[in-house]
Amino acid sequence: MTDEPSIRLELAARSLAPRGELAGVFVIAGGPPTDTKSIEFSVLWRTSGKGTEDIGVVHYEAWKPDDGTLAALPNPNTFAVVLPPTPWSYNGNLVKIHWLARLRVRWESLGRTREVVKDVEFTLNPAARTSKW
Amino acid sequence: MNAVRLPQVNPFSTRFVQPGAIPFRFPMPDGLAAITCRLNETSGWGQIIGPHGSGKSTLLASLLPALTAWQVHHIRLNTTHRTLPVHAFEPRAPGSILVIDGFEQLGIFTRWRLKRHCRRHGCGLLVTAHRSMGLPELRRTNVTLDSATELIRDLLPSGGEWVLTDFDIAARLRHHRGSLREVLFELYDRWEK
Repeated sequence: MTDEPSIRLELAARSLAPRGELAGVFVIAGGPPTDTKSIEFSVLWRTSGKGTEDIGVVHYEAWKPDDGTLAALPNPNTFAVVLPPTPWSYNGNLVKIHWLARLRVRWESLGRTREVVKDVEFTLNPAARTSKW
Repeated sequence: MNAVRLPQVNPFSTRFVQPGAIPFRFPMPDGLAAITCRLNETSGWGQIIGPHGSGKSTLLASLLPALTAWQVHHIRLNTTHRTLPVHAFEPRAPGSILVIDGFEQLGIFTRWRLKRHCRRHGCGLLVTAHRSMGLPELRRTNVTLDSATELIRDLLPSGGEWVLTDFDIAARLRHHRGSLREVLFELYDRWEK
């Protein structure tokens, strides 16, 4: 038995041009869990490979019960984030650059903070044509 | 509709194999508790010894969260970062423990100064090194064929077993003198091909 919420994160397009707009929607089935501590949405890139890995967060937004933002969060919630010109997605042998949208829900359960994370990858590529909904 | 080609995730990327991403595999279930207990007995003084890529930093990453009774100051050194930060020589209260990962990167005089500094302030000193640094030995790490095989198989996603075709883990481990890290680097390259 688990009280883990079911979350969905969907993007309107998975291939975007530099300075394009990443649009999408997220939904928490049945609404945020009781004792939700935060719901966080971010857009970030990260590298992976054999060496030291890097990460850059280009958008971060959080909804919390303390400041009243959680109560005002629509469910489903749509978002539109303007992406930076770089870095472009890259699939090299030694290093790769991944772009992703991430939704994280943290909640308190049995005295412990638990979390569920949903990542959806997309590409940032000058050859991409940003599609509409 | 255009097919999106996302960068392929390599299961041997740093993110999946770095210390902390893989828990240290103790041969005994109470291995972590035994080390913590031993460290308390030695007032926070100890060394983890083992060859390159044998799991010293991985053991440290598993051990540090368990040192809840100590105030931990963790410094990581390697071949490209061999100098101590200035705060390493700050006065420390008893109950503190200075953790140096890669202690052998320091010169003999700096190691001596650091030991004296910790002794004077009554704080602990926990180090990892390739050879003995004259501190109480907490554990000697080495990679067995069984543990390496188990770990590699755990890293592989479903359908990724092809990467082990004609790959003799035992031979590669011998070739790299017991360094699992080097074997994982090799598998990273195989995966890319």
